[in-house]
Amino acid sequence: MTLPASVAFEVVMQGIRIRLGRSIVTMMGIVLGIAFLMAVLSGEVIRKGVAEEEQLRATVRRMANFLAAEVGPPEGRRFAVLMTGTPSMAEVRLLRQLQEKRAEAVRLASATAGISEPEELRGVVQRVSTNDLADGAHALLVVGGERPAVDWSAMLERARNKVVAFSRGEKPDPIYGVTTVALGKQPGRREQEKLARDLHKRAFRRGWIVVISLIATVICISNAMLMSVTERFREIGTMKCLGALSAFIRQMFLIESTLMGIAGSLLGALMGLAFALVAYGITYGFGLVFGSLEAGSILLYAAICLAVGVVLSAVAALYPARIASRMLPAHALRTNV
Amino acid sequence: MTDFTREQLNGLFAEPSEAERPCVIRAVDVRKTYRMGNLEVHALQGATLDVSRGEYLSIMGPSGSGKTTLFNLIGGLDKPTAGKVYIDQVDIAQLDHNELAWLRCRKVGYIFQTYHLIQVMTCLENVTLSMSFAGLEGDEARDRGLHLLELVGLADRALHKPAELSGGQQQRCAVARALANGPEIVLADEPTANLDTKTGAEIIELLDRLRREMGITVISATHDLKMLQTSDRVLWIEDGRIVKSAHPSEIDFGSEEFH
Repeated sequence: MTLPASVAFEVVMQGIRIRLGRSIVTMMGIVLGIAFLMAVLSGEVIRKGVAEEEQLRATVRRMANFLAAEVGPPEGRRFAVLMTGTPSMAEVRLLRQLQEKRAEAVRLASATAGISEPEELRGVVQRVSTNDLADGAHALLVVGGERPAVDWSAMLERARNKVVAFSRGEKPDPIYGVTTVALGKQPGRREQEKLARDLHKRAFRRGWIVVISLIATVICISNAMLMSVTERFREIGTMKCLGALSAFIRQMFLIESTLMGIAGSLLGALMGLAFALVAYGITYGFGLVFGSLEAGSILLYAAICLAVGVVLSAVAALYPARIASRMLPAHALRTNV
Repeated sequence: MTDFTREQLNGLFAEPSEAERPCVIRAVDVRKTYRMGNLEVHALQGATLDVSRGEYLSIMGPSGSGKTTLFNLIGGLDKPTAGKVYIDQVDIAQLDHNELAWLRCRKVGYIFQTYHLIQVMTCLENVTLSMSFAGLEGDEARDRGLHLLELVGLADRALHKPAELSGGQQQRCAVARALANGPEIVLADEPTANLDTKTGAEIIELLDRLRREMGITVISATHDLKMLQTSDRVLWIEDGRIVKSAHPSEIDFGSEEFH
């Protein structure tokens, strides 16, 4: 005996149209689960794209931390900056950050003639002469190159703290009578291992949350489909009286769930991607985030989401479909829901 | 009625021979017990009956007497706790899910008190749905569906949904649906109970006409006097047992029982 799958499909479509409200609620379960999965997956793509930016930020953060460890938080402090070459991106960011964190003054002088400060520092630093650079300064930063040949004791004579911070180099160069700090110090092996471990742990935790949210999705769909079965006891009973095979009834619920799985996953994937874009866009800037998008990986992940959504919703419908198809018609008709 | 001699009556109601009127449905000592929690409800306690081809049998009894249970069992909608039900010589207890579905699809048409039309479908779709279960689809099914709707006088409502129809019209649609796959037996469970007298009479007339034209066996559970009068035989059920079997002409419809 042939199974009229197209008939089942038609019946399902009619059912969905009529019970649109409930179908949408069922679908939202899938949408949320898949949106979360997609947000995490596309987050990976975006993070890869903004890795350079993130590394830069980590470098600036480390430099700021080393500096703060020596002279305290930048707020209300005076900083003198001795430029020995063109400052790197990280150095520029550090200086801007000092200013943003309300340092009283960031004064800059060039160690050798002919080097002007980069565009980004205009309005952030005050240009002064080398002679009164360190007046009342809490720290002297050396940026743009290696240690310059200057008379440190003369330069730091009127400084509040005799601290020289080198933004480059692993180890501080010792200077007599002066505290030296190397801001460019790389984290040690242990620290690096700990960082890697943290990263691994975070990825693991994220994986778990995704798995749990998908399980919740399955339960949610399963519950909604059970409701759908209960709602349609009489309809199922009637169809069985008309000679519908159990397989037909089962098929009907599987088709319904799969259809909602497809629609929900597509919507969920879109929402997840949008959410990831907005969330990362706020942190890293929209230009950078949109630039980092790779159509290939995004499509691949969307396909994964679709497959996961469809499989999950089909799995979730197995039990309700079984209940519906096993029902004796007399029993189904007796029930008054 | 008293003019009939006893011989005449006996001749009229004697068991017809097997060859003359083959037996379509036979139930032998059928029992059905429902469990409601710890309570056992004996809905049917040994019912035996034979239904011949082309017969119009009415089953009556007070509510809770086991009418609907018997109806479900001989229609293959439920399985008996004990006893045998044969439809066309086949013991339905021996059939699996799919064979039962096949039987319900081709051999039996059902009409219910509350119509049980599928609300999301039009009249025509309700009729053609059961055809599609029998493998008939497309234009052929559509034509046949329209023909059946015309037969029950509902051709102009073919594309309406059940909710847009009156009770009588819905029941007509249900009759058309019951006939979709050319069944040998039509089971009608109180088909007129939800209808007013006039519409009820129309449905009865329709069923009677279809029965005579198509040679379908009709079994109905009913309280409707008109329906009882039209039938060939009336069975009484009380407390899950068949207590009486009679021809309508033997029944005093003026008695208290019917009021």
